[in-house]
Amino acid sequence: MRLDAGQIEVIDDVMAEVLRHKTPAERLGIGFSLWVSAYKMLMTHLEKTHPEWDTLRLQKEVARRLSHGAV
Amino acid sequence: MEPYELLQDIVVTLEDLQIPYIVTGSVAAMVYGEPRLTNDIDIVAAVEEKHIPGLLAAFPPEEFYISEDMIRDAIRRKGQFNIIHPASGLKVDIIIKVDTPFNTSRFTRLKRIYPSDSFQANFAAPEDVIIKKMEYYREGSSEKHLRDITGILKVSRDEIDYGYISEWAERLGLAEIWKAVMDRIGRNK
Repeated sequence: MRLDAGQIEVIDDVMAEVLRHKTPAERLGIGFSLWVSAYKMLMTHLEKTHPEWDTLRLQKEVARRLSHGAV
Repeated sequence: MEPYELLQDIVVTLEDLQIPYIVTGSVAAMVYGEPRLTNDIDIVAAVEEKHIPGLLAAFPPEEFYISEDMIRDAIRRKGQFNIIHPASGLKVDIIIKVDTPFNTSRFTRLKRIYPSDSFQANFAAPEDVIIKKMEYYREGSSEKHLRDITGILKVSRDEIDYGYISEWAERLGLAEIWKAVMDRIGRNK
């Protein structure tokens, strides 16, 4: 089990200060927005890469990738 | 479906069924610390056999994957089961509440938080999120747990009860990890 400084990342002080001034809901909202952004980026990428795929197949592939293969 | 919607769906269901619960894991870590991409919503809940029909009704098979057998097995073994939204890949991991001193403590200390304007939810307190993440790190060595811990400590800083964490770290055999984290953020100087 590694416990050296290289293993334990710490957020930048400036960013920590930014986040400290946000509400819990705002912090959660940022995190959930990351998921939405990832979903949209993946969908756009797959639509361009596989124009022959229908919407259902595209959604399945996005879901598979985002879930690390869980679905 | 997006994460907020799934979080609200599960929270409303648990409260309607009067199932004691706390949101924990990376979602709770984001509330107190640093946002990050996550696909899972982790919830510790005191689910019993009598709750199964309500859970199945709340998450219909047309939209969700939820297995009655898996729920029963989780209850029997005091394990966990999933509620999966296949169309989005989003997942809720329901961990069955076990009666331990730590669980008693963290359920007592839970915080009622507005994840959004439209609903409230029970979240594990930041100290308890940290303690549990240290346990997960010891078990699996995923550095994301350490990043979540330091994120909470840096953002929620003066709101954290460091003595409480130290006490439970000793009780749960996590003192080495806790010391390393405190050294890293400069609080042991």
